[in-house]
Amino acid sequence: MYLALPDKPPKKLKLVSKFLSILAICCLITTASYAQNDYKVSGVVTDASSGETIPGVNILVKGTTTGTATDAEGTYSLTVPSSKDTLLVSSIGYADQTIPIQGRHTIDISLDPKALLGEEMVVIGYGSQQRQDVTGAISSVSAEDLSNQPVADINQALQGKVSGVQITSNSGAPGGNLMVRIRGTGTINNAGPLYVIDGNPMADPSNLNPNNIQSVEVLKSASAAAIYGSRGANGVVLITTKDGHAGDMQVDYNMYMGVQETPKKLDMTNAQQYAQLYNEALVNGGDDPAFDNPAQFGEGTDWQDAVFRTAPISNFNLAFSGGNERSQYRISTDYLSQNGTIIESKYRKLNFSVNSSHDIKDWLHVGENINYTYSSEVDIHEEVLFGNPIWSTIIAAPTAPVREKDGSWGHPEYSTEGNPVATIHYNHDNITEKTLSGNFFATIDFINTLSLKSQFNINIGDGRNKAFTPVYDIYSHQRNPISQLEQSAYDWTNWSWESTLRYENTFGDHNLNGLLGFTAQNVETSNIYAVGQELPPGAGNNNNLRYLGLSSDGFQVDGGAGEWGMVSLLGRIDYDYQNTYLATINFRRDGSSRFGSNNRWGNFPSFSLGWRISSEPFMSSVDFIDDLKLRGGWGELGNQSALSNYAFVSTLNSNIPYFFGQNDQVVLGQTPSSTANPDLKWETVQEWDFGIDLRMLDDRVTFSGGYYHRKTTDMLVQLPISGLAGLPNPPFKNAGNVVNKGLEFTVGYHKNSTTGFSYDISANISTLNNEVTYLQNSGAAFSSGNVKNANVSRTEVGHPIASFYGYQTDGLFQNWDEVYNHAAQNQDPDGGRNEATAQNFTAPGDIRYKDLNDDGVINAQDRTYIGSPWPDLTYGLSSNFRYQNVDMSFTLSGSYGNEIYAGWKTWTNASSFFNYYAPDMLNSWDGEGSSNSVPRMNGSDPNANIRVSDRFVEDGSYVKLKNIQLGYTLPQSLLNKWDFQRIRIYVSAQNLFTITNYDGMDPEVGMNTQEGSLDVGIDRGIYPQPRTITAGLNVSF
Amino acid sequence: MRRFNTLIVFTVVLVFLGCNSLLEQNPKGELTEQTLFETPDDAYKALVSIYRVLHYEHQSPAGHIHYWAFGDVASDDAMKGGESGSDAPEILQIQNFNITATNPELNAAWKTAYRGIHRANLVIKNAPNVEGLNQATATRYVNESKFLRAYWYYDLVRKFGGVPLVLKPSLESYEIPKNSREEIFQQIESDLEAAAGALPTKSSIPQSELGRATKGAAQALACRAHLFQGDFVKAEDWCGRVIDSGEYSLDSDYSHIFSVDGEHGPGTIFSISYGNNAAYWNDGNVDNIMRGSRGMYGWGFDTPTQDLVNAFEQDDPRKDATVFSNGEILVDGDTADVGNSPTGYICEKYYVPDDVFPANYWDTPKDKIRYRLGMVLLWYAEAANENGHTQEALQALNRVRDRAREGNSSILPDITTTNKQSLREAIWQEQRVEYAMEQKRFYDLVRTDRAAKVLHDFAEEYNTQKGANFTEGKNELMPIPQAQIDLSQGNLEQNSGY
Repeated sequence: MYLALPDKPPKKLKLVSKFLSILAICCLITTASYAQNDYKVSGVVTDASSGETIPGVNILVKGTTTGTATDAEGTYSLTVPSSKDTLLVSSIGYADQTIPIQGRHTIDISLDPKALLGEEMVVIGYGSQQRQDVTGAISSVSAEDLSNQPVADINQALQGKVSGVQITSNSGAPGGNLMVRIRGTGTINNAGPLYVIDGNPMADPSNLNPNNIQSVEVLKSASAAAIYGSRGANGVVLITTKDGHAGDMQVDYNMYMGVQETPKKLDMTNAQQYAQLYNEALVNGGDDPAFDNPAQFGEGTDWQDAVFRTAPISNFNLAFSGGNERSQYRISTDYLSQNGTIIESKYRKLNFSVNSSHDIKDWLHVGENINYTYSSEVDIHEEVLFGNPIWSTIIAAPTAPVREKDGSWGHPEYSTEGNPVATIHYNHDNITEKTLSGNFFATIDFINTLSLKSQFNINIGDGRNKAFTPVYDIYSHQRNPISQLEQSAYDWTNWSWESTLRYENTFGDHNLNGLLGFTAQNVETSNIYAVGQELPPGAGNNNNLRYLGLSSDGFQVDGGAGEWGMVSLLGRIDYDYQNTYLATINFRRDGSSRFGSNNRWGNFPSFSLGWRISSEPFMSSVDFIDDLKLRGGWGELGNQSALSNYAFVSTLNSNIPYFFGQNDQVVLGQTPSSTANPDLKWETVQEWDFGIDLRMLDDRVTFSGGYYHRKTTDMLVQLPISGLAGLPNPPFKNAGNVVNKGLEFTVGYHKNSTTGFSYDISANISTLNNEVTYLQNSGAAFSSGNVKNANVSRTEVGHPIASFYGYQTDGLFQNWDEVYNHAAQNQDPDGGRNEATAQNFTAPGDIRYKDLNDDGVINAQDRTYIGSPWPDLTYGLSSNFRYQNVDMSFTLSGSYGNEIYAGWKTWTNASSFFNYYAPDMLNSWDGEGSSNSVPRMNGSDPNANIRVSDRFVEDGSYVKLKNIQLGYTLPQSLLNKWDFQRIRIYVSAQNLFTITNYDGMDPEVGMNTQEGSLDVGIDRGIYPQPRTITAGLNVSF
Repeated sequence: MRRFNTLIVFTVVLVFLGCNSLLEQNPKGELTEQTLFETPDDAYKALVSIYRVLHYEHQSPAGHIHYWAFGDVASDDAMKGGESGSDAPEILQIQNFNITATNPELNAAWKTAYRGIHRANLVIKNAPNVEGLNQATATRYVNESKFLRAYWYYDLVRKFGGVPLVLKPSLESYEIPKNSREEIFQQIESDLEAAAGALPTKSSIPQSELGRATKGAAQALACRAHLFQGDFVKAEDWCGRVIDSGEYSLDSDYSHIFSVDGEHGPGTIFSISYGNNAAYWNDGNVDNIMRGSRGMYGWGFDTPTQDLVNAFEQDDPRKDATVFSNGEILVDGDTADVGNSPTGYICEKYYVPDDVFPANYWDTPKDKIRYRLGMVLLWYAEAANENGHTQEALQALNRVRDRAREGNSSILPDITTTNKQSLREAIWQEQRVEYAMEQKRFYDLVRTDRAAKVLHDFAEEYNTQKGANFTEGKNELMPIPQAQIDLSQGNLEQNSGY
C-alpha cells in the first residue's frame, strides 16, 4: 500500500480516509494493467479556434520517456505500452492536454491557444473582451488567487486583491457579512456593488461556493459599469463560475479542516482592580463604596475566556467535470461547517451546482448554471446595538462567577449588565435559508457575424428564523418569566430575462463589435411573522416542544409583501482601428416601477477611449515595452436601491394600538407614514476616469494606474423635515451630491521557471477622498451612529459621509487654577475648591474641552469634526512562490488614515459599574501630573467626560496578513504511478497577524447593517475576525 | 428564416411583457393615503392614531421615554438617578440646568407634540366630510382632536413659550417663525371651549370608552392652562365647573389611585391608557421600569429627593404612598431594595407589583394619570384664594387634606388661615405633596415665579450642583431645539439666554 492508514482513523478523518481508500483501489486496478503489449495510436492535432493543423506538437506517454512530435501536416503516430495509457500533449502557445487513450487507436486532438498576457479574455458586462482592448477600469482576479482560503463568502478572499476596492468585515461571526465599497461611498444609501453571477444580475455571492469560481471581474469605472445602468452606480462585480471541458471526466476533490480562535483579548481589569476602581468612582462622586473588601475577589472571572472559544472549521468539496466537443458539464457539491469563536454561534452551508452547455445544432448553443444552497446559522445577535454579546462580555463585572457553586448562573451585584454566557445561552436565533439561483441560456448564430443570446435568470429563496426564549430567572436584570417562541418566514422570487443581439466584424483595419439588448426583471418578496408565548414547561430543554401550536397565549402575527419591476434597453459599440485606437460607447435606458410616472425612465450613456501607444510604428524600436495603453472615459450611472418599493405613494402605518376602557381593550389606529413624492428620480453618478496600462520586459512587469472623479447627484435622501410637519418618516427627495475621487495603482512582477524558482508579486494601492458637496436644506446635517444615546456621526456638506463629530479634548485640568481659568464647562459658580466641590463640579482630573468659538462657554457650538471612518489609503500585497513541488503564497491587506470610534470605551472608560479597560483606567488621574489623558474616577461624572469627543476616536490604520499558505504537490512520477493528475497538501492561516495601534479587538470595523450605511467605523464591541489555521488537500484525477 | 422569426418573437414578447406589467406596481400589503378617510371606521382609526402619540410622549432617540425629566428631575423633587452620573447625560443636563439646544430630549418633545397636532389637524379637517359618519360622531371626533391639540400646544408653550401655530394638516412651507405665547394660549382656550362644550361627560360614556377625552378633561386642562398664565378668574371658573359637575369624587384610598385596579377611578379626569397585551409588544408603559429600583427590576431613574420626603407633614400617609426606602414591605409583600438610588428613595407611585408585572419585563400596564380631582381642587383653591374667595379656597384645600388623612383625625389638621399669603403657601405646599412626582412640580415653580429661589435654596441646603445653575429669566423656558431652528432656515428664533 502506498498510503499508510491508521487502523482506526480519528472520527473527523473518517470521510477523508474512506475517500482515499476508494482512490487507492482505483489506482491498484490501473497499476495492475501495466503488463500489456505495445499499442499503436495516431491522429491529427489542430488549433481549436482556427481549425488549422499544428506542426511540432510534443506528444508524450505519461510516466514514460516514450514520445513523438507532429509532422508538417500536424499528424502523429506513436507506439505506446498499453491501451490504458495517457498522452501528454504540449506545444508552445497552447494549453497542455492530458488525454487517456481508453482503447482508441485514432485520437484527433484539438488544442486551445494559451492566452498570453494581454490576450486573455476579460469578462465585461454582457460579453468578454481581450485585456489589451479594454478601455474601462476593470480588475480581474482568477481562481488561483482565490483558492483554498477558508472563507464562506468570496468577498473575504478578495480583500487586499483589487485596487480601489475597500472590503471590510462587518462581523467576524460565521456567516457574517462584509462591507464592499468600490471607488468610495457615493451615497448615504446602500453603497454596495451589484453582483452578476454568470450573467444573473440578482444572485447573492454569499450563496456561492468559492471553489466553483473561475474568475472575478470588478467593473470599477462608470464607463465599464454603464451597461448595467441604474444598478451599476456602486460598481459591478462579475463572477464567472467554472465550466467543464471536453475530454475525460475529471474529478476534483478539495477539503480542509482547521481551527479558529479570537486573535486578541482585551486587557480588562480583574475583579479586585474592578472593585477598587468602582469604589473610588463612587466615593469621588459623593457616594458610599460598594465593595467592602475588594481584595477578596482576586482575579475573578475572565468573561472573555468564558465566551470565546477555539472552534473547528471544515469544508469538503467534490466536483466532476468533463464532456465532449459538443457538450460539457461540471457538477459539484460543497459542505462547509464552521463554529463561531463565540459560544453557540455556528454556520453550516451545503451547496450543489450544475453547469453545462451543449451545441444542439451548429447554429444553436444552449446551457444552464444552477446553484442550490442550504444554509443554517445560529445567530447570537452580534449586530444588536446595545446588549450585543461581545459588548456584554467586555463590560461584564469580573466579580461575578460564570456559575455559582450550586450550578446556577452567576450574576453581578451592582451592574445591570448580566451574565453574558447566560445571555448567549438563552438568546439566539436559528436561521435557515434555501436558495436556488441560476440561469438557462440559448445562443443562436444567424450568420458568422450576427448572434443572439437569450438568458433567463432566476433567484428563488426561502428563509426561516426561529427564536425560542425559555423561562429563566438569574437576577432582577436578567430574567424571562414567560417562555416565548418567535418565528418568521420570508421568501423572494426574482427573475430576469435578458436578450442580446451581437454583431462582430472586421473591415480591413477596422474592427467592430456591436451589442443590442432588452432586459426585463421583477423582484417579489413576502414575509410572515408569528409569536406565541407560554409553551409547555418541557420546551426549556426539549426542541420537540418548541412549536407555535403548543403555545397557549400571547399570539402575535404580522406579514407583508413587496414587488418591483424594471425594463431596460441597452447597447454597446466597440470599435478599434488597427488594434491601436480603441473606442467603446455604451447606452442603457431603464424604467423602474419604484418611481412615479413623472420620472420613470432614466438614460445612462458612457464612452471610453484607448490608445495603444505600443502598436504605433514609432514604438517598434522600443523593445522592452510589450504593451502600453492610455485609456479614459466618462459614464453616467443610476442608483435606486435606497428607495422603498412604493415611495411614489403615501402609505399608511396601520394597526397602531392604543388602549381604551376599564379592561384596557386594544383599539387600532392608522395614519400616513410620510408624504408621497411622485417626482422622485434616479440617483445619478457621473464619473471621469483616466488610466494607463503597461506590460514590459517580456511580460514580466505589469503596471496599471488610474484616476477617477466620481460625482453623485440627486442622491435619494430621506431629508430631515421640520418637526412641524408631524410625520413619522420624512419623505424621500433627490437632495444631495457626493464626490469621490482617488488614484489607483497596481504593480506586478512575475518570473516563471519550469524547474527552478518561480514567483510573482503584485501590489496595489488606492487613495480615496470622499466629500458631501451639496445637501438641500443647508445646515440640516444627518446625525447617525448612536452610542450611549448620543450621535457620533454626522453627514454634512464639506465633509466625508458619516464623519465623527464631537468635542476636542485638550488634556486634563491638573489643578484648581486650571479649572477656573478655563471656559465654562461645569465649574462651581461659588468657586469652591474642595472635595465636596469635586464631587459635583468640574475639578482637577477632568477633561479640558477646547472652546473653539472662544465664547468662554463649552457648549454644542464647540463641537467639530474629529475623525473619518474612511481610509486615505487602502493597499494590498500578494505573492506566490514556487520551487519545484513546494508553493507558498500570502496576501497582506491594509488600510491607512481611517479612524475608529471606540464606542465600547464609553462603557469601560466611564466611572461606572461596568468593567474597566485596564491599560487606560488603571492609570486614571489621581493627583497633579499623574495623567493628562485618562480623567479622574467619578461616578457622577459632573464634567461629562463621557461626552462624544476625540477621546474615543482612535487611529484605525492596520496591516493584516489575510492569508498565508504553504503547499506541497506530490511529484509527477508518483502521481503517474497512481494515475492522479494532482495531489497537493497545504497548510493555510487566515488573519495570522494584525499590526495596528487600535485598542479594540479588531481594527476591521465595517458598518452596522441594522443601522444602515451611515453607521460606519463605530466599534460597540464587534465580533472579531477569527484567526483560522487549516490543513487541506487538493486532489484531481 | 426560421431563426429570424425567433428573434422577432423574443423581442416583441419582451417589450410587451416588460412595459405593460412590470412598471405599474400597486402597493402590496400596504394601505395608501387615499383610503385614510374613506369610511367611518377609517375616521375612528385616524382618531385612535392621535391618542397613540400620547404613548410616545417625549420619546428620546433611543426609544426611552423621559417626560418625567422635565416635570420631576428639573425640580427639587427628584434626582436623575440611573446607572451612574454618566447614564443619560441629556437628563443630567436638565437636572443641572446646563441644557443645550442640541439636547435630544427637547427635539423629541417638540417632534412628539407636533406629531400629535398633525394627526389632530387631519381629523379636524376630514372627519366632518366622511361619507356615512353621522354628524354627532364626527363632532365628537373633532372635539376629542381639539382637546388633544390643546394638550400638546399646552405642553409646547409651557416648555418653549411661543411656538409656530400649525392648524392645518399640511402647510406650503414649514420655514415659519414662532407665534406669540399669547396666540398659543388663545388657540388652546378656543379649542378647549369647543371641546368642553361638545364632549360627553365621563359618566355618560360606556366603560369601554374610558380613557377617551371628556368634557371634564377639557375643563381641567383649561383650568391648568389659565393657572399657568396667571389668569386666576378663568382658572377658578374652569376648575369650578369640574368640581361642580358632580362627575368626580376623591378615591378614599390615596394609594389606590396609582394601582392598576384604581385606573379610571372616581377622581381620574384624564389619563394615558396602557395595557399589557402580548400581541402589542413594546406598547406598554416603560416609564415604570425606568423609574423602578435597580435593586429590584428597574433602571433607577427619577429618584425622589430627601427634600421632597421632608416636605410631607408628620405621619402624612401620602408619604408612604409616594416613596419607599430600603426594607419597607411593599404592596405585594416584597421587601423594598432601592439599589443604587442616589437619594435612598424610589417613587412608589410607579411601583409595579408582581401581579401586574409584565411578562416581557417591559410593558407595564399602569396608566399615566394626567388630571385628577385632587389636583383640580388644589388649583381651584389657589385661584379662589387669589381672587379673594377665601372660604371656597379653604373648603377645596381641606377636602384634599381630609381624604389624605384616611380617617386618622390626629394628622393633617384642617387649614384655617384666612391670610392670603399664608393660605397661598399652604396651598402650594399641599400641591407639592398631593401630586408629588406626577410631573407638575417644575411647572408649578415656574408659573408661580418660585423656580429660581426654590432651586437655589435646594443647591445651598444640600451642597449640590442641582439647582445651582438655574438662571432666572432664562431657565424658565427650555431652548428651542437646534435641529428645528436649522430646519426652519433660521426662521425660528432661539429663546433668550441660549
